[in-house]
Amino acid sequence: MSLTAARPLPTEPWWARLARWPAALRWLTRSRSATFGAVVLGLWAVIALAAPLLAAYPAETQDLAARLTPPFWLPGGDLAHPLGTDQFGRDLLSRLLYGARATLAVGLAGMLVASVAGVLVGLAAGYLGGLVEAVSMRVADVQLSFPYLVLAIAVMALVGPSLPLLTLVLALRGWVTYSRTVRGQVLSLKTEEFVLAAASMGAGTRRILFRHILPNAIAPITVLSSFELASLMLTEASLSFLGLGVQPPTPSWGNMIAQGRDYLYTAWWLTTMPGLALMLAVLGANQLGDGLRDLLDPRLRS
Amino acid sequence: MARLIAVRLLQAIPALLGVTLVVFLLLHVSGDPASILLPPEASEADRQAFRTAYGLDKPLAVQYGLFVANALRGDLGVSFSYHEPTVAVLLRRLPATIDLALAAVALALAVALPAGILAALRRNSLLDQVVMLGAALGQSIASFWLGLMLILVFAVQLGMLPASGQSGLASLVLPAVTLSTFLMALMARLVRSAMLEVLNREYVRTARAKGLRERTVVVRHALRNALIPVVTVLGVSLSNLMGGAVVTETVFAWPGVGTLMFDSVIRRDYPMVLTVVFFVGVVFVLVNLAVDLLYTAIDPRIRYGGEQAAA
Repeated sequence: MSLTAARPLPTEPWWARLARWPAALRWLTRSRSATFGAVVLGLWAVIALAAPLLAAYPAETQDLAARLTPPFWLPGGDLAHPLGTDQFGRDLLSRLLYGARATLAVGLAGMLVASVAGVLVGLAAGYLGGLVEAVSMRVADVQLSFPYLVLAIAVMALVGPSLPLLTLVLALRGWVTYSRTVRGQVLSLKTEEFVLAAASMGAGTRRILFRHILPNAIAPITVLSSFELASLMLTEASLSFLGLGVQPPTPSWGNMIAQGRDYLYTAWWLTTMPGLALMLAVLGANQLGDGLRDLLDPRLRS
Repeated sequence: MARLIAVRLLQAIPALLGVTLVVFLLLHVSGDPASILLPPEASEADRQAFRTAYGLDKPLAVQYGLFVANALRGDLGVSFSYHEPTVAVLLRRLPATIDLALAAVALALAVALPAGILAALRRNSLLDQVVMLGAALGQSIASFWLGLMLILVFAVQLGMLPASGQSGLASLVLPAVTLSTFLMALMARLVRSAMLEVLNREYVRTARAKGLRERTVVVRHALRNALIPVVTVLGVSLSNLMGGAVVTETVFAWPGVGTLMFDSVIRRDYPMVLTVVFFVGVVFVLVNLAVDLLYTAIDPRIRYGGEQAAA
């Protein structure tokens, strides 16, 4: 619960908050999985942001003379293309670095939209109860019983793939978990004395929800966000693999795997490398979530 | 019990209506259902005739009513690419998907139950760490990529198993492994944590104090209670399994509903796509209903109207 204890006072200047970051990071290192996850995700985030600086070649530059060059450790490979090239002679390592952008950005955007929508619905359902609660939780039930990917494929196909739509479709997957978790938190918090005290002093619904209840629900929301990020990155990759997500020539790990598939027998590195990158990123997000959960919920600490 | 079944059946109705509403909305996302339900080469006169015949010129609420009525009769349109009712095509493809899904669930449980139980019994041992690491990897791997890697190793390099198609039991192995991995990892973790929770309970200590064999304690007393959350999650996971089936079947060219869905998307055979969405939605409402009832059978507390089991 250290996160909630560290909630800044309204009078605190912004630089005082920044000064607490090292302490937050030290707290994170108390869990091995959280440290691993944070380092992996942090590295991918830096790579995604700095891709133009790090990549030796632009993602879409073709060099037909150097088509299907193997990675440097295989015969025929050389260090000009450390991980080899694809069927158009594009540098695989550079495309992997650029691919981190699409996967991380779309995953993060989907997670953010899902969390905002889910948190708002959860707050409303938990605090207002009645019809709002009945309808929103029923919709959540229906959605959970529906094979999400089938629906996502149909929507992307019928409307036509685009990045904003992809983000919305990913958010559609995530909001249910947020709203259920937040609703549960609200239900247990709204009878707490500090909430009743605020209400008796005349605080409005909005003030109670956002000033008193939400800050105390931040811990489970943080844990959930890590897992959501992991599952949304996998979903984005699946949709892009099927040709319904991020569209070529923009590289994403999912569409790179799809393109490499045609060369599975002759150029295995084209499918293997982006899949490893994806697995590492998803593993990082999952481990971060596991670690945060252990840190924030001492009951479960092993 | 009969009353409970009746209540659950009634509760499934909003879910079923939800499914029809989703498909109806999908049909209208482009603005003109005629352009979705008729082949692209249809003439404007054909479209107009189609609109009148199917009531597409009527208000939306009436259209929705007609749609539900038609859907209940199993009439969801004619496939562009197969030139026969979509439901007939779907039913033909169904057995292959059922085979694959059953194999995947069986495989996932066959590995995850013993692995989770042993990991919980020998907590923090090497075995526990290996199981947890495997589970963490299994939950982080993209199934379509895993499928391609399995093809690379077992079909291309070793030549042991077929890379695609449906030809006997051998061709089922790689798709089933691919589809089951995520569920297997999820289940192993869940069984482990549920067992850990239960093993500390008093009734387990009592069972041990009575001098029962360890095997009886674990299987009869601990596992039975640990299975309750497992069944719940299994129900929800089945819908993920169907989504996974689209990707897995596509990778292995498995002739099931998943491949049908994907091929229809590529061919813009939208009546077929909508039929799959509709059908899969209905099936999963029913599966969840069955899981709910199974849940009641395992946990007598629910049957007698008592407190909800701890999830």
